[in-house]
Amino acid sequence: MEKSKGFPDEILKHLAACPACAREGDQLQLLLESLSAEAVPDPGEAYWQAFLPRLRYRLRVQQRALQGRPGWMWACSGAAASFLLAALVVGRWQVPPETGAQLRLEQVASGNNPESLQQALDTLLPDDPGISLREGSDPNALPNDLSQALEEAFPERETGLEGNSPEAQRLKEKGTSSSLDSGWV
Amino acid sequence: MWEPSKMNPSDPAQRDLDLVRQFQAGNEHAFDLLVEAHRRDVYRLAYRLLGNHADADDLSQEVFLRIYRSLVRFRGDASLRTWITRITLNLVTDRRRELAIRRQTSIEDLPVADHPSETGKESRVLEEEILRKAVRRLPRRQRETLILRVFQEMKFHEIAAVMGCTVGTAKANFFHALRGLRQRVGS
Repeated sequence: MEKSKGFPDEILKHLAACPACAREGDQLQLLLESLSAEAVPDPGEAYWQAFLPRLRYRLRVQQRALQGRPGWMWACSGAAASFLLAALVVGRWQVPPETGAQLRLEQVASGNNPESLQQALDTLLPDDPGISLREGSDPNALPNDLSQALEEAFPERETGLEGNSPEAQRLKEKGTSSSLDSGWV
Repeated sequence: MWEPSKMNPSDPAQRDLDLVRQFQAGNEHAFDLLVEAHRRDVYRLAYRLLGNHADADDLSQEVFLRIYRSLVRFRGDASLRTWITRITLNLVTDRRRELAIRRQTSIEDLPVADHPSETGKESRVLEEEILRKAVRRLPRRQRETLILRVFQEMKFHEIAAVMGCTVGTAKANFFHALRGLRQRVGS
Protein backbone atom coordinates (compact mmCIF):
# COMPACT_ATOMS: atom_id res chain seq x y z
CA MET A 1 0.00 0.00 0.00
CA GLU A 2 1.34 3.41 -0.89
CA LYS A 3 1.99 5.98 1.73
CA SER A 4 -1.07 8.16 1.76
CA LYS A 5 -1.59 11.57 3.18
CA GLY A 6 -4.05 10.25 5.72
CA PHE A 7 -1.80 7.80 7.56
CA PRO A 8 1.21 8.45 9.74
CA ASP A 9 4.33 6.32 9.47
CA GLU A 10 3.58 4.15 12.49
CA ILE A 11 0.27 3.10 10.98
CA LEU A 12 1.90 2.31 7.66
CA LYS A 13 4.43 0.05 9.36
CA HIS A 14 1.66 -1.86 11.06
CA LEU A 15 -0.38 -2.11 7.87
CA ALA A 16 2.57 -3.71 6.14
CA ALA A 17 2.63 -6.54 8.70
CA CYS A 18 -1.10 -7.05 9.36
CA PRO A 19 -3.34 -8.23 6.47
CA ALA A 20 -6.63 -7.53 8.30
CA CYS A 21 -5.66 -3.97 9.10
CA ALA A 22 -4.24 -3.57 5.60
CA ARG A 23 -7.63 -4.49 4.14
CA GLU A 24 -9.35 -1.96 6.34
CA GLY A 25 -6.66 0.52 5.48
CA ASP A 26 -7.37 0.04 1.79
CA GLN A 27 -11.02 0.79 2.40
CA LEU A 28 -10.13 3.92 4.32
CA GLN A 29 -7.79 4.89 1.53
CA LEU A 30 -10.61 4.58 -0.98
CA LEU A 31 -12.74 6.70 1.25
CA LEU A 32 -10.06 9.35 1.50
CA GLU A 33 -9.65 9.39 -2.25
CA SER A 34 -13.39 9.82 -2.65
CA LEU A 35 -13.32 12.71 -0.25
CA SER A 36 -10.31 14.30 -1.88
CA ALA A 37 -11.88 14.04 -5.27
CA GLU A 38 -14.78 16.12 -4.16
CA ALA A 39 -13.59 19.52 -5.24
CA VAL A 40 -15.07 22.76 -4.15
CA PRO A 41 -16.51 24.45 -7.23
CA ASP A 42 -14.50 27.49 -8.13
CA PRO A 43 -16.69 30.58 -8.06
CA GLY A 44 -14.87 32.03 -11.06
CA GLU A 45 -12.25 34.63 -11.79
CA ALA A 46 -14.74 37.50 -11.69
CA TYR A 47 -15.57 36.55 -8.12
CA TRP A 48 -11.93 36.58 -7.07
CA GLN A 49 -11.30 39.89 -8.79
CA ALA A 50 -14.20 41.44 -6.90
CA PHE A 51 -13.27 39.84 -3.58
CA LEU A 52 -10.76 42.45 -2.41
CA PRO A 53 -12.72 45.53 -3.58
CA ARG A 54 -15.81 44.20 -1.77
CA LEU A 55 -13.75 43.61 1.34
CA ARG A 56 -12.28 47.11 1.18
CA TYR A 57 -15.78 48.53 0.77
CA ARG A 58 -17.01 46.68 3.86
CA LEU A 59 -13.98 47.88 5.80
CA ARG A 60 -14.73 51.49 4.84
CA VAL A 61 -18.36 51.08 5.87
CA GLN A 62 -17.31 49.68 9.22
CA GLN A 63 -14.80 52.43 9.82
CA ARG A 64 -17.33 55.11 8.87
CA ALA A 65 -19.81 53.58 11.27
CA LEU A 66 -17.24 53.81 14.04
CA GLN A 67 -15.91 57.27 13.22
CA GLY A 68 -18.81 58.88 11.44
CA ARG A 69 -20.84 60.18 14.35
CA PRO A 70 -21.51 63.88 13.66
CA GLY A 71 -20.18 66.50 16.05
CA TRP A 72 -23.58 67.60 17.27
CA MET A 73 -24.28 64.07 18.50
CA TRP A 74 -21.14 64.16 20.63
CA ALA A 75 -22.05 67.66 21.88
CA CYS A 76 -25.57 66.57 22.85
CA SER A 77 -24.27 63.48 24.55
CA GLY A 78 -21.74 65.54 26.49
CA ALA A 79 -24.33 68.11 27.55
CA ALA A 80 -26.74 65.42 28.69
CA ALA A 81 -24.01 63.69 30.64
CA SER A 82 -22.95 66.97 32.29
CA PHE A 83 -26.54 67.78 33.22
CA LEU A 84 -27.09 64.37 34.76
CA LEU A 85 -23.83 64.61 36.67
CA ALA A 86 -24.69 68.08 37.99
CA ALA A 87 -28.18 66.95 38.99
CA LEU A 88 -26.68 64.01 40.80
CA VAL A 89 -24.18 66.18 42.71
CA VAL A 90 -26.72 68.92 43.62
CA GLY A 91 -29.33 66.38 44.58
CA ARG A 92 -26.88 64.67 46.85
CA TRP A 93 -25.50 67.72 48.69
CA GLN A 94 -28.46 70.09 48.74
CA VAL A 95 -31.23 68.44 50.68
CA PRO A 96 -34.42 70.58 50.90
CA PRO A 97 -34.93 72.12 54.41
CA GLU A 98 -38.15 70.25 55.01
CA THR A 99 -36.56 66.99 54.08
CA GLY A 100 -33.63 67.74 56.37
CA ALA A 101 -35.99 68.53 59.24
CA GLN A 102 -37.84 65.29 58.70
CA LEU A 103 -34.55 63.49 58.75
CA ARG A 104 -33.59 65.18 62.03
CA LEU A 105 -36.91 64.17 63.53
CA GLU A 106 -36.16 60.62 62.55
CA GLN A 107 -32.72 60.94 64.12
CA VAL A 108 -34.30 62.21 67.30
CA ALA A 109 -36.77 59.35 67.29
CA SER A 110 -33.91 56.91 67.09
CA GLY A 111 -31.15 58.72 68.97
CA ASN A 112 -33.02 61.14 71.29
CA ASN A 113 -30.96 64.18 70.30
CA PRO A 114 -32.76 67.28 71.61
CA GLU A 115 -30.47 69.66 69.74
CA SER A 116 -31.49 68.06 66.48
CA LEU A 117 -35.10 68.11 67.57
CA GLN A 118 -34.91 71.83 68.26
CA GLN A 119 -33.43 72.45 64.83
CA ALA A 120 -36.09 70.31 63.24
CA LEU A 121 -38.86 72.16 65.02
CA ASP A 122 -37.35 75.53 64.12
CA THR A 123 -37.36 74.50 60.50
CA LEU A 124 -40.78 72.94 60.39
CA LEU A 125 -42.47 75.60 62.60
CA PRO A 126 -40.56 78.78 61.92
CA ASP A 127 -43.35 81.17 63.14
CA ASP A 128 -43.93 79.55 66.53
CA PRO A 129 -41.50 81.10 69.04
CA GLY A 130 -43.12 79.45 72.03
CA ILE A 131 -41.67 76.01 71.46
CA SER A 132 -38.33 75.56 73.08
CA LEU A 133 -36.67 72.44 74.35
CA ARG A 134 -33.38 73.96 75.42
CA GLU A 135 -32.35 72.83 78.86
CA GLY A 136 -32.41 75.52 81.54
CA SER A 137 -34.48 77.92 79.52
CA ASP A 138 -37.11 79.94 81.36
CA PRO A 139 -40.48 79.66 79.62
CA ASN A 140 -41.54 83.00 81.16
CA ALA A 141 -38.44 84.87 80.11
CA LEU A 142 -38.68 87.30 77.28
CA PRO A 143 -36.67 86.63 74.18
CA ASN A 144 -33.33 88.36 74.38
CA ASP A 145 -34.06 90.63 71.48
CA LEU A 146 -37.47 91.91 72.70
CA SER A 147 -36.14 94.95 74.52
CA GLN A 148 -34.07 95.85 71.53
CA ALA A 149 -37.13 95.60 69.34
CA LEU A 150 -39.08 97.85 71.64
CA GLU A 151 -36.32 100.40 71.64
CA GLU A 152 -36.29 100.42 67.89
CA ALA A 153 -40.06 100.74 67.68
CA PHE A 154 -40.24 103.48 70.33
CA PRO A 155 -37.08 105.55 70.36
CA GLU A 156 -36.34 107.84 73.35
CA ARG A 157 -36.90 110.97 71.34
CA GLU A 158 -40.56 110.20 70.87
CA THR A 159 -41.41 108.67 74.20
CA GLY A 160 -39.37 111.03 76.26
CA LEU A 161 -39.25 108.47 79.05
CA GLU A 162 -35.49 108.39 79.28
CA GLY A 163 -32.74 110.86 78.58
CA ASN A 164 -32.22 114.43 79.67
CA SER A 165 -35.53 115.99 78.71
CA PRO A 166 -37.28 118.12 81.36
CA GLU A 167 -40.06 115.59 81.59
CA ALA A 168 -37.65 112.84 82.30
CA GLN A 169 -35.80 114.79 84.85
CA ARG A 170 -39.06 115.49 86.60
CA LEU A 171 -40.03 111.84 86.64
CA LYS A 172 -36.64 110.81 87.94
CA GLU A 173 -36.91 113.23 90.75
CA LYS A 174 -40.24 111.70 91.68
CA GLY A 175 -38.69 108.24 91.56
CA THR A 176 -41.27 106.85 89.15
CA SER A 177 -39.03 106.02 86.26
CA SER A 178 -38.63 102.42 87.30
CA SER A 179 -42.34 101.94 87.54
CA LEU A 180 -42.77 103.53 84.18
CA ASP A 181 -40.11 101.27 82.70
CA SER A 182 -41.81 98.28 84.08
CA GLY A 183 -45.15 99.60 82.90
CA TRP A 184 -44.18 98.92 79.30
CA VAL A 185 -44.07 95.32 79.91
CA MET B 1 8.89 50.70 5.16
CA TRP B 2 7.71 47.93 2.95
CA GLU B 3 10.36 46.37 0.73
CA PRO B 4 8.98 43.51 -1.37
CA SER B 5 12.41 42.64 -2.65
CA LYS B 6 13.46 41.52 0.81
CA MET B 7 10.56 39.11 1.13
CA ASN B 8 11.07 35.43 0.62
CA PRO B 9 8.30 34.08 -1.62
CA SER B 10 9.48 30.49 -1.27
CA ASP B 11 8.62 30.39 2.42
CA PRO B 12 4.93 31.21 2.82
CA ALA B 13 5.14 31.45 6.62
CA GLN B 14 8.01 33.94 6.46
CA ARG B 15 6.27 35.85 3.68
CA ASP B 16 3.14 36.10 5.85
CA LEU B 17 5.13 37.28 8.81
CA ASP B 18 6.85 39.95 6.72
CA LEU B 19 3.51 41.17 5.43
CA VAL B 20 2.08 41.26 8.93
CA ARG B 21 4.99 43.34 10.14
CA GLN B 22 4.57 45.69 7.21
CA PHE B 23 0.88 46.05 7.95
CA GLN B 24 1.59 46.71 11.60
CA ALA B 25 4.01 49.41 10.48
CA GLY B 26 1.18 51.12 8.62
CA ASN B 27 1.36 49.66 5.13
CA GLU B 28 -2.26 48.95 4.11
CA HIS B 29 -1.19 47.31 0.86
CA ALA B 30 0.40 44.49 2.84
CA PHE B 31 -3.07 43.51 3.97
CA ASP B 32 -4.24 43.25 0.36
CA LEU B 33 -1.39 40.86 -0.35
CA LEU B 34 -2.32 38.75 2.66
CA VAL B 35 -5.89 38.57 1.45
CA GLU B 36 -4.76 37.48 -1.99
CA ALA B 37 -2.55 34.81 -0.48
CA HIS B 38 -5.19 33.26 1.76
CA ARG B 39 -8.62 34.02 0.32
CA ARG B 40 -8.94 30.78 -1.64
CA ASP B 41 -8.02 28.60 1.34
CA VAL B 42 -10.47 30.46 3.54
CA TYR B 43 -13.23 30.19 0.96
CA ARG B 44 -12.65 26.47 0.39
CA LEU B 45 -12.64 25.71 4.10
CA ALA B 46 -15.79 27.74 4.64
CA TYR B 47 -17.45 26.01 1.71
CA ARG B 48 -16.52 22.58 3.02
CA LEU B 49 -17.94 23.40 6.41
CA LEU B 50 -21.01 25.39 5.37
CA GLY B 51 -21.85 23.62 2.13
CA ASN B 52 -22.91 26.49 -0.10
CA HIS B 53 -21.40 29.42 -1.95
CA ALA B 54 -23.44 32.23 -0.38
CA ASP B 55 -22.53 31.36 3.19
CA ALA B 56 -18.94 30.56 2.26
CA ASP B 57 -18.57 33.90 0.49
CA ASP B 58 -20.09 35.92 3.31
CA LEU B 59 -18.06 34.11 5.91
CA SER B 60 -14.82 34.54 3.94
CA GLN B 61 -15.35 38.28 3.92
CA GLU B 62 -16.15 38.21 7.61
CA VAL B 63 -12.94 36.31 8.31
CA PHE B 64 -10.82 38.96 6.63
CA LEU B 65 -12.70 41.76 8.34
CA ARG B 66 -11.91 40.09 11.65
CA ILE B 67 -8.28 39.64 10.61
CA TYR B 68 -8.00 43.30 9.63
CA ARG B 69 -9.22 44.40 13.04
CA SER B 70 -6.99 41.98 14.95
CA LEU B 71 -3.84 41.93 12.86
CA VAL B 72 -2.20 44.76 14.78
CA ARG B 73 -2.18 42.47 17.83
CA PHE B 74 -0.85 39.40 15.99
CA ARG B 75 2.44 38.46 17.65
CA GLY B 76 3.43 35.52 15.50
CA ASP B 77 3.29 32.86 18.22
CA ALA B 78 1.53 30.60 15.73
CA SER B 79 1.76 30.80 11.96
CA LEU B 80 -0.61 33.17 10.23
CA ARG B 81 -2.20 30.25 8.41
CA THR B 82 -2.98 28.55 11.71
CA TRP B 83 -4.37 31.78 13.10
CA ILE B 84 -6.57 32.39 10.06
CA THR B 85 -7.84 28.80 10.11
CA ARG B 86 -8.74 29.11 13.76
CA ILE B 87 -10.66 32.33 13.09
CA THR B 88 -12.46 30.63 10.22
CA LEU B 89 -13.44 27.63 12.31
CA ASN B 90 -14.72 29.86 15.11
CA LEU B 91 -16.80 31.93 12.74
CA VAL B 92 -18.11 28.82 11.00
CA THR B 93 -19.20 27.40 14.33
CA ASP B 94 -21.01 30.64 15.16
CA ARG B 95 -22.59 30.74 11.71
CA ARG B 96 -23.82 27.17 11.84
CA ARG B 97 -25.35 27.85 15.23
CA GLU B 98 -27.12 30.94 13.89
CA LEU B 99 -28.34 29.09 10.83
CA ALA B 100 -29.60 26.18 12.88
CA ILE B 101 -31.55 28.54 15.14
CA ARG B 102 -32.89 30.60 12.25
CA ARG B 103 -34.04 27.61 10.28
CA GLN B 104 -35.22 25.75 13.36
CA THR B 105 -33.35 22.69 12.23
CA SER B 106 -30.52 20.73 13.69
CA ILE B 107 -27.01 21.49 12.55
CA GLU B 108 -26.79 18.15 10.79
CA ASP B 109 -29.77 19.03 8.59
CA LEU B 110 -28.14 22.05 7.01
CA PRO B 111 -28.36 22.03 3.24
CA VAL B 112 -25.63 20.45 1.23
CA ALA B 113 -23.65 22.11 -1.54
CA ASP B 114 -25.66 24.16 -4.02
CA HIS B 115 -23.17 23.61 -6.81
CA PRO B 116 -23.95 20.32 -8.52
CA SER B 117 -21.10 18.08 -9.40
CA GLU B 118 -19.88 18.48 -12.96
CA THR B 119 -19.07 14.84 -13.56
CA GLY B 120 -22.33 14.28 -15.32
CA LYS B 121 -22.76 10.80 -13.93
CA GLU B 122 -25.75 10.24 -11.70
CA SER B 123 -24.04 7.58 -9.63
CA ARG B 124 -21.08 9.79 -8.98
CA VAL B 125 -23.34 12.66 -7.95
CA LEU B 126 -25.21 10.37 -5.61
CA GLU B 127 -21.98 9.05 -4.13
CA GLU B 128 -20.70 12.56 -3.49
CA GLU B 129 -23.99 13.53 -1.98
CA ILE B 130 -23.85 10.61 0.42
CA LEU B 131 -20.29 11.48 1.36
CA ARG B 132 -21.12 15.11 1.98
CA LYS B 133 -24.00 14.19 4.21
CA ALA B 134 -21.90 11.65 6.06
CA VAL B 135 -19.18 14.23 6.68
CA ARG B 136 -21.72 16.72 7.96
CA ARG B 137 -23.10 14.19 10.39
CA LEU B 138 -19.75 13.62 12.03
CA PRO B 139 -19.18 15.19 15.44
CA ARG B 140 -17.94 18.75 15.02
CA ARG B 141 -14.32 18.28 16.07
CA GLN B 142 -13.97 15.09 14.05
CA ARG B 143 -15.49 16.80 11.03
CA GLU B 144 -13.20 19.81 11.33
CA THR B 145 -10.14 17.64 11.82
CA LEU B 146 -11.02 15.53 8.80
CA ILE B 147 -11.54 18.57 6.59
CA LEU B 148 -8.35 20.27 7.74
CA ARG B 149 -6.37 17.11 7.15
CA VAL B 150 -7.84 15.91 3.88
CA PHE B 151 -8.92 19.06 2.13
CA GLN B 152 -6.69 21.74 3.58
CA GLU B 153 -3.79 19.29 3.72
CA MET B 154 -2.65 20.53 7.10
CA LYS B 155 -0.20 18.58 9.21
CA PHE B 156 -1.33 17.13 12.51
CA HIS B 157 0.68 19.59 14.56
CA GLU B 158 -0.94 22.43 12.63
CA ILE B 159 -4.36 20.93 13.22
CA ALA B 160 -3.56 20.60 16.90
CA ALA B 161 -2.61 24.26 17.02
CA VAL B 162 -5.79 25.27 15.25
CA MET B 163 -8.06 23.09 17.37
CA GLY B 164 -6.31 23.84 20.62
CA CYS B 165 -5.55 20.22 21.41
CA THR B 166 -2.61 17.83 21.46
CA VAL B 167 -1.24 16.20 18.35
CA GLY B 168 -2.41 12.84 19.69
CA THR B 169 -5.94 14.12 20.08
CA ALA B 170 -5.88 15.49 16.56
CA LYS B 171 -4.79 12.10 15.22
CA ALA B 172 -7.43 10.31 17.27
CA ASN B 173 -10.11 12.68 16.01
CA PHE B 174 -8.99 12.05 12.46
CA PHE B 175 -9.17 8.29 12.70
CA HIS B 176 -12.45 8.35 14.60
CA ALA B 177 -13.77 10.54 11.80
CA LEU B 178 -12.61 8.09 9.13
CA ARG B 179 -14.06 5.15 10.98
CA GLY B 180 -17.36 6.92 11.54
CA LEU B 181 -17.49 7.94 7.93
CA ARG B 182 -16.93 4.43 6.73
CA GLN B 183 -19.69 3.14 8.95
CA ARG B 184 -22.09 5.73 7.60
CA VAL B 185 -21.40 5.27 3.90
CA GLY B 186 -20.74 1.53 4.08
CA SER B 187 -17.77 -0.27 2.72
